[in-house]
Amino acid sequence: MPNAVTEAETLISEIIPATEVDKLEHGREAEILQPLLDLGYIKKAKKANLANGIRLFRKDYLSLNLIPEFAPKFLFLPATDLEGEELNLLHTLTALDGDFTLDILPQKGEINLCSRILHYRLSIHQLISFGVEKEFSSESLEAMTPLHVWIKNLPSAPLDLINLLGNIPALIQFINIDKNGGLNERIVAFKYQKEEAVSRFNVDISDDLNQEIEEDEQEEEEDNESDMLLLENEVDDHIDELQKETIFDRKEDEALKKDTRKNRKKRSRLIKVQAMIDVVLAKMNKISDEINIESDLLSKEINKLKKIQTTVSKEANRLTRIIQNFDKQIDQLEKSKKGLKKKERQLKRKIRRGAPQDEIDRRRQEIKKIKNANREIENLVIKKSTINVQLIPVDEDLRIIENRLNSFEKQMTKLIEEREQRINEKQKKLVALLKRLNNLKDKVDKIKFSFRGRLKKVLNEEFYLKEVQEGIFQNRNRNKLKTISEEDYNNFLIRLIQIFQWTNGFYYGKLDNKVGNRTFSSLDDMVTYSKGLRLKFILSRLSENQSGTKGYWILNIKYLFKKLSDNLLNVKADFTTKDLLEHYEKQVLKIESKGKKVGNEITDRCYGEIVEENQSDIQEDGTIRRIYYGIKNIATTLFDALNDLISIIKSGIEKLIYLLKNLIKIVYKEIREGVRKFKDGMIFLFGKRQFATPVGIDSAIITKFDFDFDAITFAPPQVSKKEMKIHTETLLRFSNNLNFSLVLTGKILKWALKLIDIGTPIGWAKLSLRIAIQYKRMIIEWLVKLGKDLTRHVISIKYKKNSKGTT
Amino acid sequence: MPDEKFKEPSPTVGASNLNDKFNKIGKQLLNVAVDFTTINVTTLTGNYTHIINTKEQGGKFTVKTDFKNFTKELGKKGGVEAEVKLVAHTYVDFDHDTVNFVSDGVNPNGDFLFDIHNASLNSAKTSRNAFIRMLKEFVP
Repeated sequence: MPNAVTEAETLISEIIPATEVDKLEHGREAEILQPLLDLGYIKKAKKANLANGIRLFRKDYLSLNLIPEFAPKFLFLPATDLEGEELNLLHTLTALDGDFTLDILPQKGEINLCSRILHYRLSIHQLISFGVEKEFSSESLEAMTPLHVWIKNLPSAPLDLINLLGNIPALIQFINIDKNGGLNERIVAFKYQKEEAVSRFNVDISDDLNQEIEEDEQEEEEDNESDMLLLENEVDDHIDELQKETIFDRKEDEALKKDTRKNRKKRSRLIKVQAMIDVVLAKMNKISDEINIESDLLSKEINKLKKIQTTVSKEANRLTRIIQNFDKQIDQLEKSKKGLKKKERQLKRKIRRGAPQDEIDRRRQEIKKIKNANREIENLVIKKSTINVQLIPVDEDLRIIENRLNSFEKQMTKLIEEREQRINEKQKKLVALLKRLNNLKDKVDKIKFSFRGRLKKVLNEEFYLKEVQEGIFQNRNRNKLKTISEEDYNNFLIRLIQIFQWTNGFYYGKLDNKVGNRTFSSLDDMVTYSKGLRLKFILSRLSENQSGTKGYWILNIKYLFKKLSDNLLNVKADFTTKDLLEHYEKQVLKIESKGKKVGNEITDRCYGEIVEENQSDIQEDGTIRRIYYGIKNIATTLFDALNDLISIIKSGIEKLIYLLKNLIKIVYKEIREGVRKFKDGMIFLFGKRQFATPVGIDSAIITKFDFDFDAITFAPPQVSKKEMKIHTETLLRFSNNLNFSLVLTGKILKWALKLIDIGTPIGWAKLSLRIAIQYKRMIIEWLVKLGKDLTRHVISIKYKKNSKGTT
Repeated sequence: MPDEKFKEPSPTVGASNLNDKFNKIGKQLLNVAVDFTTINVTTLTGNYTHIINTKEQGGKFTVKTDFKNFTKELGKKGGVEAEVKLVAHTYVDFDHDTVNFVSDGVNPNGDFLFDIHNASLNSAKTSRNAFIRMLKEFVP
């Protein structure tokens, strides 16, 4: 039997390679530690603290009934590890997408999940300076008082306010309403952090902005807003019109449309037009390629025919040569026959004159020779005619080939002519299109992007004229900007922008209120995936010195929030991780079906970096930081960006790296959690199903299940209560956790057999992604059973009467 | 040493290889003819330390033999059979009819042994249900 067991182990390790599992498991601990740190269950990210943190967390969520009865019995689980479902819960609790609603406030003096989440949200917004793990007190609620000073009409109930703070999209929408957030009479200002913070900052944008600032500073008159709008509209109409134009056949046209669709979200018209120009240029190249391919094919055909022609004419020549040879021989024979006849005639004459006997004999011989020559000539003539007969079909073949060649060459000439004519027409059209596009580009270049114009447009007129135009731009009053930059509400808003970018996957750094390089490049990424958002309208710089090393950034917060409210926040579909994974799988399979491979080098490297960053990050105290584990907002962003990200993975070029990391973080995590369950199921199906708990030093309780679940247990008489408990818990943990993992395994096996049926090969990449999707589907079904509002992914805490969590 | 953080890309599992494996597994599972209608759970006690090897793996015990041969192994103790007593036996029929047999006075620890027996029974029932659920998913 040991052989059978080894065989089963080999089988499992072949299906689930250990190296893959190791790679995925790497960093899981940090994913547990981080939210436990965030919620104050542990103070330092040490492995030694993990068991206690997990114990407290389990106690808390069980007392709140957050995991249903039919779920795995987590109490039996290892003390230093979380089940996938628990990790999912932990990450949901620390999410800021409104995924988790608090339904009741903690009592004064309580330390429990509610107090921790409440404090966590306050600390995210920098409203408290004490630790998240502190007991709930009046101080906790007083921390929210400044919010009421900055923002009007906030919910008066502390609980509603706390839930609003835990729902960043809703909070931004709320603040965007002028009578609430007062953003129409506000700009956000912040000081340069350091010289290099600007110089290291993405070159393109920096140049853009510097140019922008120069333009702004050169402007003496006010922007003519309406003229600008007209020109913008005109350009947009042109672009639309050009996109509608059909210059290519249907297939090409679709490809073109797809290309331009891809660029739809690119941040400016200039880029849009440039993209169209690129497409046209690419098409032109393609066309010249097509000509080459076509004529190549034709000349190949002709060459082939010519080769045949050569062979056939060689054969004809050979036969002709033979015939000529015969003719020569016949000629010679005729000649010698003539000579012989002459001799014979002379002999005849001599005999007539009465020649001796030997003369008569000689004549006879000559006559014989003549007869022989005649015979030979006859033979040769017959042979010649045979060869001539042979030559007839060869000649015929030659004629046919020649005809064919002629017609083919004619055809080819005609085809090339036609083709060239067609191509010329297309090229002419393309050249015309290119001209139009270049004109359009000039027009776009002429549009003045104006930060000030946009600022004026969104702000209250009186406020703009007096405070901004006069107070800041005309008087160059830096004191005013300094004052603004030091206001608490100003800093709250900067933080809010950072949180928004963080929860949307654009920002991948610490939440520190410092607008550094990461913030700038994340703004750039965000602009790429937000319709109509333009960086030039968001940020501008007011320098204090010529070299531009000192000064303030001015941020048009009203414009930014308005655009965010219009776009990112009004997402119609709520995407879940499952949707994201399914979309990802679809894209990957599409690429694979074209015979290309989605390499995992870049994804592996991304994951390695995430793990490394996270591990070093959680060692630092104080700041709320690190990787965001909420899903809803990120999933939405990633869904939009997925095609681009996949092509980044495919090409191996590192772009949009924060978004990519966020995608990989989610995909790898789900694969890992799914594979864990799948492995459990496989081990059950093919493992030995034998459980042993040591008793004393030389005995053990042993339980063995056979394939149809009959069980036999050996237990020594001296079993203690402790040993009995360990063994029963082992058994119950084993069987209670089976439900989930076995159903998952069953679904995966069914899927695999289906693929085998239709002859599709299964590789680890495909298998692991499928496991992740299936796992996520099951988690969602499971949450539905839990009675949670899945359409909004909301889980809410309802207190049980007897719950009094303490640490 | 950042390089150390990255593992070498794992050897790719050949797709055809995986297909073969899954095919094998599938056939294995579809062809099982097992009796899921009844459950038999037996708990025994006695002296069988000779079957357990406590020396291996740094003091951790391991069970030398697979359980299937356990009873065979029990009889091998220097020709003298080990003394093994029945603690309890439970037979559960598909209609949930249950027959319980519990020995009297097995030892003073009988309660704990019976607790273990109950846990085995519960575990067997739960596992069987999970397995049937899996088959439902799996069998087309």
